Amino acid sequence: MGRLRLKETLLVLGMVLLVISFIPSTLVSDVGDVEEGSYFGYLFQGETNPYITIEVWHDRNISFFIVSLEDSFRFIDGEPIEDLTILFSLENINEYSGIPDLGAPGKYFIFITTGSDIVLYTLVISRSLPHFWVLMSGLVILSLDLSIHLFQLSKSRKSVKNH
Amino acid sequence: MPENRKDIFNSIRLERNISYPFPTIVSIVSIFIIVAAYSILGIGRYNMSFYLSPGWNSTAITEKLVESVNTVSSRAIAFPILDFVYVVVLLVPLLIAFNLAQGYSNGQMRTLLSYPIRRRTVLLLKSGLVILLVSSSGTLGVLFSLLYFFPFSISLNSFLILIATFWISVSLIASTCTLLAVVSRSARITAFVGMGLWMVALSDLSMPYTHPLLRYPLFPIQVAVSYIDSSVSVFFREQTTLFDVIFGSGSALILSVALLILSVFIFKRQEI
Repeated sequence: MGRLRLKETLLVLGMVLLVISFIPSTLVSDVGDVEEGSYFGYLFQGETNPYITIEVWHDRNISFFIVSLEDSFRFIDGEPIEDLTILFSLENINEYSGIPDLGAPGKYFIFITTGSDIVLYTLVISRSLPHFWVLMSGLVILSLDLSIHLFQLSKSRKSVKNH
Repeated sequence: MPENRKDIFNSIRLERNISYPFPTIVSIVSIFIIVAAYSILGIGRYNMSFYLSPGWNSTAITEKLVESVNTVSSRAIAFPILDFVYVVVLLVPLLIAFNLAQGYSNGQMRTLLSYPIRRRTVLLLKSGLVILLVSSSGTLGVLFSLLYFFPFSISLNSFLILIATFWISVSLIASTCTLLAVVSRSARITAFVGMGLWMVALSDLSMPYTHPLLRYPLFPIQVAVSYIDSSVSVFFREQTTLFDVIFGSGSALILSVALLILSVFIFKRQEI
């Protein structure tokens, strides 16, 4: 009875984790404007490297760089960009979409700036799907459930043979 | 009627076996885990952004940034708890209706009262188990989702305040439904009136134009969320203090205890 309940619990928990691992999630979604000499900074937290999409309006260009939370404090305090550890950056781009390697998990800041007049942009940062750790946990739990099931099956076959 | 600890444990076991079969418990826990995960994954729609124009005031921005970092952690707990309220106002009346009110019509209550257990114990056990099951499932759901999506960034202070107010809110909803069940003796009335009353209260009385003396005891979670992060929703954007949280939670707790005492009082005098 106890083993049966453990098996059922593992099955339900595993399925729940599989469902959760495919829930889409946006970390940042914004339409903003930035002008020369200014920066727009967004704070986000990711347990895995996020999927970033930037689109700039009206054929203009922007630059962006991603730093850790600690470095963002230093940047705001006036430290030059060259002295910071830039995790990822791109200059003069019109659009970008991809998964930069930030060494997640952690809290990060993305700073957006431009070399021209006012530039409008759309920024979307999403968690990459499936949520890796949730999916892995779900699969491990389901495998454990399957192992218990197979173990029980072989045990019952043996007992039938012995009879 | 004399009653010893063994009888109480046996009645808890009996109540669990009758009213809470294994699939029910697992389903309730799963619902809370999914709702918590869905809420936490939706936090991104509230951006934490800063505009740095030339000659920016670094001290002011740093202060705002520190506040934002703390706010993100608090929101990770506040969002699921706020969403849980909608699950709780639907789930608790149903559980009370099918585990308590239906006992009047299917003979379960008469059977339970034939055991050497006090009537008070039977009633408190039935509503207590609903409170325990729903509240602990909610807490488990939040912890589970925080572990995956906000590891190592939980604000303990916010967590304790929000979880405590969540347990108190569940107790308040459960005690009103217990009173309804005892008075009406009908599963249908308990379920529909219980859900209806709380849904109407949630949509009308939780608004800012309702007097705080009515709103705070009915919705201590909103007061706690407003205290922790006033920018979560336009409806809660008001200045609340720790005193308001204590007042809201304390009065909700007193109200739920009073409703349970009244239910016991009526239940003791009922002919079953």
